[in-house]
Amino acid sequence: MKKHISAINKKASKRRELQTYTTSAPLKFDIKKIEKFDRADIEFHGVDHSGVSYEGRVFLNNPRANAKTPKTLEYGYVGSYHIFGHGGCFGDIGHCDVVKQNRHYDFRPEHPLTAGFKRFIITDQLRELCKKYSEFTVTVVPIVNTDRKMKSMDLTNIIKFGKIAIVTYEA
Amino acid sequence: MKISDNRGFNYVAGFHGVPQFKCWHHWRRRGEQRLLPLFLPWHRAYLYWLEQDLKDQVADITLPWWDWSSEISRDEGIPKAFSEKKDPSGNPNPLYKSHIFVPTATPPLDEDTFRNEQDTSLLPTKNDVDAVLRNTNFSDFEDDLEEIHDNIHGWVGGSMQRVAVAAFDPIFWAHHCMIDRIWRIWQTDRADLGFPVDLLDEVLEPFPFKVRDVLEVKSLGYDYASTSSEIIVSG
Repeated sequence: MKKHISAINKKASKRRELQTYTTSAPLKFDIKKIEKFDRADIEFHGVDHSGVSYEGRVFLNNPRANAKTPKTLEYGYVGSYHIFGHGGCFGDIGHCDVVKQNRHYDFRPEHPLTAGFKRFIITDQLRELCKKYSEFTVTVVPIVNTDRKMKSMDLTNIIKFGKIAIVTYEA
Repeated sequence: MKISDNRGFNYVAGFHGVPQFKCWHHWRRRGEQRLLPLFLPWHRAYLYWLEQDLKDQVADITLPWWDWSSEISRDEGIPKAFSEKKDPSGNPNPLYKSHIFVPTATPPLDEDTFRNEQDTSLLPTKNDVDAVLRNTNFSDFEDDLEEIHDNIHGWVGGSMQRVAVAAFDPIFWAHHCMIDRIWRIWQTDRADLGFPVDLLDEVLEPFPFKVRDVLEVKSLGYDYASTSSEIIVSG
């Protein structure tokens, strides 16, 4: 087994396939309403960015997607978002803990590692997929530009966010 | 100049990540849910600050931009001025890497920056930039531009893909000039410069600026002309 893993690592390109993907529970739509939209966004709320940078490849209704899955709509690929990660902690114990603080006279910005937000437009892709589906799962495949300094970092639990939403708009 | 001098590159690079962590990417004002779109103005103030420190040393110096959407970038990747290990005289090229010296970090940092570039076919294209420029709403524009920005940090890899140490890599500054340039181009079509009015008085710590102070690049002493010619007319 050990040999097998090392053989895979030798062959791996810099953008390495990681083991952990995230697939959501199905997001359901009223298909009659959705036929009318002029714009559709996919939103990721509460995105953790404390760790490594990565590309999150987003697939709809393809829970088996991985780093080798073609980036085409045929495979459910609707786009990617990129996270510019903090890259680990360089402070003392607790330095990177996001502490909620409610003093009404505290005007400082939030902690730099407060979870972030990402969204991108999927209007055409969703319109096409709506011809076949009325509910969707969202699978995010992380792609990391791995390097020698990541040996001590957790590369199997990268994607953390609080909520995924597909939002449509009418003009 | 010693690396610990507060007029130097190492000191200014330390505003972004270690040791000061002042960069504005995903932040919110306390007690508010919405993200404040201060990514662009904060980094414009940051570019200005380094450029002024450089001008103290060489009066007519300006920061260059790296157009990662250009054909030449698709051929060569990072510009040779930043990617060659030696300068034309055969000396180590100071733009190839820099030294990170932050003894107060945990663990202390005393190391060179490094890169791990990806295939050039993965760089954003002119079409990607044009799509960003088509946004009419500032928040959408900034979201989309920051997305491309995040992509480039990951594409360069190494130190550049870590918020904590990215600004120590000299290519960081050429990348951010390109981001600032795209913002400037977007602004040229808007008489009001397009920024949300209710955020104009947000402070861009640690710089002595509010957002309104950095909206107009000419007031900061620079512009992004592709070409320019001028004639002095006296009389």
